[in-house]
Amino acid sequence: MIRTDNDSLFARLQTYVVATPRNAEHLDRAPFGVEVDAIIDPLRTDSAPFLDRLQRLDVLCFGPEGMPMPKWVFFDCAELPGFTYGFALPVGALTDHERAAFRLADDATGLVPFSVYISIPMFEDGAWFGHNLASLNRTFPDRDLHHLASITKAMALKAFRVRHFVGATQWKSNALHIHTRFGPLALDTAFTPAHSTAETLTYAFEVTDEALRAAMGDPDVKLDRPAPDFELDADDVEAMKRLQREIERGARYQLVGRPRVHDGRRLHPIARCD
Amino acid sequence: MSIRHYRRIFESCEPYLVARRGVADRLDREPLGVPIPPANVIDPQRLGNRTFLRLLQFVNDLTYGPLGLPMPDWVFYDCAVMPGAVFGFARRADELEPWFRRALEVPDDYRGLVPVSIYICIPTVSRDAALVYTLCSANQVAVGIAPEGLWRLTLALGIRAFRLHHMMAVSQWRSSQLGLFAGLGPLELVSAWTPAHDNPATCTVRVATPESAVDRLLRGDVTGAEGIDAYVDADDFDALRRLQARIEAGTRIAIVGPAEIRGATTRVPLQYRDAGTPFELGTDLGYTRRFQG
Repeated sequence: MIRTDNDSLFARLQTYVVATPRNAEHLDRAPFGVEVDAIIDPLRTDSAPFLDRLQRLDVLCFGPEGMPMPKWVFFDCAELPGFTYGFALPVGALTDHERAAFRLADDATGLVPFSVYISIPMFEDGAWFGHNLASLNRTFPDRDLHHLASITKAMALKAFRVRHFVGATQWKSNALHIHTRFGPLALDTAFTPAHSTAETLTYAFEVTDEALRAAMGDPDVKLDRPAPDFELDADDVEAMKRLQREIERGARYQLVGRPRVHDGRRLHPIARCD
Repeated sequence: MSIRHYRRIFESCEPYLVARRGVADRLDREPLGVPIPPANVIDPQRLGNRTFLRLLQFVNDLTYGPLGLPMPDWVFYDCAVMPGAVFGFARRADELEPWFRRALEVPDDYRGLVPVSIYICIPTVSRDAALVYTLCSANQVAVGIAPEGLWRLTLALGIRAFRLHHMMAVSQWRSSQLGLFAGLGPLELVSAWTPAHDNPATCTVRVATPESAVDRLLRGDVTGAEGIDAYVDADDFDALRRLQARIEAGTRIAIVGPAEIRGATTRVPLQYRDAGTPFELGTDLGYTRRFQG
């Protein structure tokens, strides 16, 4: 059995996966021994209410000022090619406040997602790209959903049978510390003009059970992390560009831990790789 | 194959590929004998390619924006060039007519490639088919920017460049793109009414893409009336819902040709088959009826 920073999540919430029938054949339906409670087929019309709630979850987490995902992107770039994993509650278990937040009708039924992780396969075998992580931990603080995001991501990567993971996030993202829980992250880019926010890093790591357990908070797992050689200021765009140019010339770097805040600056620990 | 009919395109346009280093080497860099110049293989993770990538997204927005389906930049990165790759045709900036430079907001000092068609392909979990969710040509919004046939040639070479044997695609029922896809062969409907999409009148199709299908696409064959079991009105939402209900109940349905448009009515030809029975094309395929795209 797995041990996490918040084991009660598994007792209080259900788990779901959104997958087409063809894709579902490739799913681990009991990651770390935790059975997936519901598989939602995005091609069926009766899945529409749940899929609408997924989009609502996205809005509740990121708001209109974030990077909300249009419905067609959910369909074309998540549900058809890849997998979506998360934790959910039945409609009947929601408080009035939560029902209102999800804009549920009085006669609504089924599951309501409280967290989501979306990943899609890349050309390379076993490689996946993660493009959405959201949880309602901060939206509904009374629910005691702490660590829901990191547990959701780790469970998802296990369920999707990911061997090599790649992601992109912003240097200023509040969620970056979640990704660093999986161990040192190889930097593929440090400055990314092809993204909406050029101050984006592209990172990668090999997915092992140890990395996933560590990310979920298993006290028995400790990951090795190199000592940092320097720190990157999340506001220093010129430093990001310099780092990017070095990466393009063949240099390799890792983000080796969570950022620290000093004098209002967010500083990321970076190590050079031999 | 009949690529010679498309030679006018090669007089002004060059193929390009946007792919990460690890992906570019896995693709066919000479689809149907058309070489993609090494200098036209663009790494989306390099700073120096910024302008081309901006132009690419601009062309995409020009064609899909009016449909209410613009692609946010982060989606282009996260859901296109990271998991998959982009193939298309481009023209040299210094060979472009001034009106075209203005239309695409090409920077005055830019001398590189300017994309005029886009084909985005990403893998799916099952790996038995890849998903094409963007196929567009600048001709759709500014006729004359590139020769006729660019859309069709981009699809054909894109399929070969990505070495696809099956392709999935998402299209609105009224879109002429659906007719183009049907040029490959029977499009098996995976969904006919799609509430998960912004526009539920969207279908999801799956089509085999062997060499013969690409040849058929390039020739512009369409099936004869004998291969058609029924038509669905692309604007009849109740009919689309009924079609979806039949699919969910297990009926196999395929689109077997481009829509027939009479007046204000768009009728899409369908074929029904039981499980295990393959979809077929008519035997008198050829050049009597053509769909251009």
